[in-house]
Amino acid sequence: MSRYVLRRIGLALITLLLLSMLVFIGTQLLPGDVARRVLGPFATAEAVEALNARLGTDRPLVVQYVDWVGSALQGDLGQSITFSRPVTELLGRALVNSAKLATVAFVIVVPLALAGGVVAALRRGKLTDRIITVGGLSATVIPEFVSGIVLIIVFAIILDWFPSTATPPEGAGFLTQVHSLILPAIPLVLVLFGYIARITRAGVIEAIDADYTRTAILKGLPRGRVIRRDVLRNALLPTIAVIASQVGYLIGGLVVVEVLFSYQGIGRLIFDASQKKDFPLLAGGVLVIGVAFQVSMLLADLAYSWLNPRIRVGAKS
Amino acid sequence: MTVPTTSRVQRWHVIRRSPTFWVGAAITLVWVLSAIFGDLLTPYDPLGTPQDVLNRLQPPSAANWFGTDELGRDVLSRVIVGARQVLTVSLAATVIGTILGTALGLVVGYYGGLVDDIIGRILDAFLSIPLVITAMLALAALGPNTFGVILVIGLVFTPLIAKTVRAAVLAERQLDYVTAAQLLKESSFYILFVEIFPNVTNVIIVEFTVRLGYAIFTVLALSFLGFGLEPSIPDWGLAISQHYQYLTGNIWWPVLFPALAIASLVVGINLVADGIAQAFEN
Amino acid sequence: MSEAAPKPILEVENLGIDYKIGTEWKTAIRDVSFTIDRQETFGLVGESGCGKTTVAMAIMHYLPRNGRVSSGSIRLAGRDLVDLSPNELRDVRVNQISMVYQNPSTALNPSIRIGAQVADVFELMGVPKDERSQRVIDILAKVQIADPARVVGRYPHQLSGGMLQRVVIAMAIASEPTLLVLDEPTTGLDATVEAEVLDLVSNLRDDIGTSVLYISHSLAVIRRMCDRVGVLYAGRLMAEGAAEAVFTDPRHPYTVGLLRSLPSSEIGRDEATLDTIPGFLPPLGADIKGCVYADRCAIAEDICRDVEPDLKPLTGNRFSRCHFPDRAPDLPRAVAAEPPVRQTETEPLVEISNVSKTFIQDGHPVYALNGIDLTIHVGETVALVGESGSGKTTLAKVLLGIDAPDEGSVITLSGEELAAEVRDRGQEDVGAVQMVFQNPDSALNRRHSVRRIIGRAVRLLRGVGRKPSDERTRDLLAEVRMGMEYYNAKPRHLSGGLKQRVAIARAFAGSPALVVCDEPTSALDVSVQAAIINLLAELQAEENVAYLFISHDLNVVRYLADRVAVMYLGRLMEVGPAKRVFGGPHHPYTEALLSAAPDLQEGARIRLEGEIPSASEPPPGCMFQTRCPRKIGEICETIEPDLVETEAGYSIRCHIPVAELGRLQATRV
Repeated sequence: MSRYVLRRIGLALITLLLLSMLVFIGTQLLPGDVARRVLGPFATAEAVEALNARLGTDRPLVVQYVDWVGSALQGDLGQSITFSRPVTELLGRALVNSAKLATVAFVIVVPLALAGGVVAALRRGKLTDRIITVGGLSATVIPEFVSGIVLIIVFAIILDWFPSTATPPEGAGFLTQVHSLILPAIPLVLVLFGYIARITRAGVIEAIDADYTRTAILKGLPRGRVIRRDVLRNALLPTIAVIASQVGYLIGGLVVVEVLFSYQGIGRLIFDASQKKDFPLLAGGVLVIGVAFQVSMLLADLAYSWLNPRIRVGAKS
Repeated sequence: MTVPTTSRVQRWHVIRRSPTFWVGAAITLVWVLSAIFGDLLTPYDPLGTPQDVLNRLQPPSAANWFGTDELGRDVLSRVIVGARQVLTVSLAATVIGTILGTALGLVVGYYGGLVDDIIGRILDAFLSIPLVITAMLALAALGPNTFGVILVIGLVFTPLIAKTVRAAVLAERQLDYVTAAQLLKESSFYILFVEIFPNVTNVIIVEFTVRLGYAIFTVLALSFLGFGLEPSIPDWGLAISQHYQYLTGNIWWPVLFPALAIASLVVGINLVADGIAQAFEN
Repeated sequence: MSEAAPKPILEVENLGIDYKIGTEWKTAIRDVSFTIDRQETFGLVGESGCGKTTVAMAIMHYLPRNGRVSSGSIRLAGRDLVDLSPNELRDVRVNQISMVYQNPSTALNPSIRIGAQVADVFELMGVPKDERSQRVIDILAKVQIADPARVVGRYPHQLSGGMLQRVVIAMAIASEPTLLVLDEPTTGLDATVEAEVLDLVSNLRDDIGTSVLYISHSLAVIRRMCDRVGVLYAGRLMAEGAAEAVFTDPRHPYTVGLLRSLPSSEIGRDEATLDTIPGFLPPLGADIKGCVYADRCAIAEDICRDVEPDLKPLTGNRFSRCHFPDRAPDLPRAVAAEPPVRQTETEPLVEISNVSKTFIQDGHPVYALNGIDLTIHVGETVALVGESGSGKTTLAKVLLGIDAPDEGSVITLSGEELAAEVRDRGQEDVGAVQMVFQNPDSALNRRHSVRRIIGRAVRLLRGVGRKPSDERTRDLLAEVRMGMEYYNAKPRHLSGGLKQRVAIARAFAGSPALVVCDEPTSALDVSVQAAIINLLAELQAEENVAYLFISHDLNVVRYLADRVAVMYLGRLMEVGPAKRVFGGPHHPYTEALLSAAPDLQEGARIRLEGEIPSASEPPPGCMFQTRCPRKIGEICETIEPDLVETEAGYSIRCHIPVAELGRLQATRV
């Protein structure tokens, strides 16, 4: 068990290292000459050289990379060009906002999608199953800004039940905050619902068809108990990892939703940074997202291994 | 009891009896046709004329069924030809990703070992960032252009598709026909491309259709965010991002109709993909 | 049936079962009737696809989602099982009827401890909570699980297949059911484990006095376990009666054919060929007017093709679904009995000296092969036997050049050293050593045609162009007795036996000197197995090829092999002429293997205790000492015996002198 945990943490670290390289390549290498970008096409070659020397961008790439990673590890991701503030400070605030939105979305979608998947599996081939499967598939593939627009038209403009911007007034209470986050959360919920429900359904069906479920039924166990102990217990375990892996897609969706609902989250920040070519901010934002994703995958894997006797107890002894 | 092997005929039976596949195929066909022949069908020039400005943001009427946009262009005409951009870009990106991903997946799955481990890690690193953000990052660095969108999506799809193909190759490698080929001293190239490849084509077809749906999703999100597509070409995502500020003024038609077009296209394509996946996976 | 007979426990009457394939319902079981009396064991036997498991699942009221009982009735102790309410059904499953399944490794919930899963049964029976854990331990002890108190805390993945099957059996017998249904309970288990499970089932059955429905494809197992048997073919019951009568004096051509297909211990391959059953099982739901077996039956007449016979009573309380049951014993042979004539040579072909193979697994060495010395002569068949995990397949892979052996291992072919890996071998050596695989489905590329599969091998191994290779491919098809209609077929159009023939043709594409056959018939039905064995024997006589024949079926080995090598934990324990190894005195391990085979010897069984140790932690001293029933003491635990040649061509690895072994083994019976 502990060997597995160490191995898993080691893998996550290697992945993060590679991720930092990718981000470095994307934000430092691909855009080309930093000083030229800042100074514009009409600056003299000397001025460009001087600025590069001042920014340290004339040093060998490896040195720049090590420097960047080293500072990042100490919590310094540099200065934002457009906001002239430390990147970490900007990201910190945005991250809190995004976490709120993501939490509302997850709290709604996880129970809903699990229930939907289980019900669809138990009524396999029947009308309920088709409705959940096809409905879920359709909800999953419609982009968030499309469903978001329809929601705004219906619930913010026509019915006026929810605000059309997600940012609550300063110092708003918990309920007001949640209220303003529900509408933006729904596009995320729709996209995630179909995906999680589909995986859940597949897992439950596999467990229903499994030999051990046959054994349980032929023992004479009541149906409810077979479903709880044999079907759900074995089917829902792997979906933990699936749900965690959806964190990544969720963050991708956050960009669109936060732009649409003018919400100051990390997605919006990354969007602004990429539009204004604020590469230090962009690099920091992407790195933070990668770390968040890897951590959630790690936690999910550890939870899975702790709940799964095959890993927890190990092989034959 | 023996395991039945699915033949082409059986697959066709599964597809034929799926009503959702046919609904999806019909919707998709409509949009593909309007992408190809759209110019013959539009009542007005989708690109608009200078005089249109006098006629801006008109609600739906007998003259303009879907109303006009902020430049006075006919929304219906722009919706009809709007599928072209997204379909070509998505298709090109998916084709690139499928070709590269298949090649990579075959090689990694067959040779395994260290190469597999290294590529697996890089893949994980790639997958830590959502596709939309990767694309934004790359487009910010490279400057926005259509080709850039195709390339970025294609390259991000490469490891995703490679992962699926790799798993299929690993399963095939366990089978004795591969050992038999090794015992004939076949080259690795022959084993990989002539022996194994034909047995993983089903997986690739399914992966292609699923990825195509996801590419469309991403291209639309990028165009909504204003990335990478030519502003003059009619595009649904761009239309929405340009007009949703008018929603508060109760001007819904330049937004709603492109939104419905998007919804119908993505649902249509994904119903087709789902039908194909079910037929090939059973 | 006599009038005084007590009411049977299970009555299956005119049972019909359909499966929905696509949009059509197809008949899988038609008009099957049989009864099982109190404390009787009834066997259902038949080849794959005949409907055995379907009948069992109908009795358990657990047909697949696309299955339905279309006609007939199933009564348990007089009560109809087909139309029970869900609660009544549960009650029947809890108290009256239990089942043991084919694959024990998937039959238990992987995330619940063994103890809790067994305790369920007692809970359902209404045993008070505080008594349950003791009852669990008692029942596990009853199925001879050593240390049950420890096993209750285990998860299924921590136990071996044999142990898991004991747990499943424990759950099945806990309620002392009226009827116990066993569906291939030992298929996939090693022969030694199978023997133990079979013993256990017999003892328990006598102990709790339950009736048993035993389903198996193995005639030998059914014969050993059952009082009465029914022979299923294409969803029809073809013959029924006392096991002894059905097997010793069969009155249905199909039963006759099946029995003749089995290799017996008396006749070797140089005495007679095995008889076979020509043709194929009709497809599911085929519309057949007459007898379903008429197409394959050598004594069929016009009436057989027009009128389906009833299951008619014959003398001796048995039944046969045949128009001419009296002619069945004189069924003409499908193939001539004359065995192919072999050349006799004793020249060494392949010499394996000091071959070892160590794998590294999770940083630990696994000693898969250890100092193997073995010679294979031109044109002979050497059989490799041993439980799974003994290293048989590893030795084959090393010989074939798929896995490279450790430093110091030497393999020569006709006196020349063979490169360790196939990619370093010349074209001639590659063609000289080829292989036939266990599973023909996996051995053929499903996307390639027969012509391509064989033709490619011909081109590569003979270095010829397309035209001559096409010719040779046709010749090879003819040599494996396949018609030209299969020339362009894809594997999915071929039956298992035909696929195996294609695989054999491929192995013979380059005139091999040695063909490694890794369980080439174990995935096949007996009638197909016989044809493949005959084919291998014929090809050996024609081509003077040597076989290294890996098999767990000792009857097949006895029929086909000239010499036998017994492996255990990567070592050779005994090597010698087949007659000598089978005749004895044997190595204690060989003795155990032989006594595990269900039909070779009746009488006291040598039990092997415990499980085969891990090859990463081999025991000190003799490899076999942890399980050896004849262990003599400390020497076995400390010093590993050498493989000693005690007579010409016969070697044994044991501390006990051969004469002493002979004395010990003679006292059995």
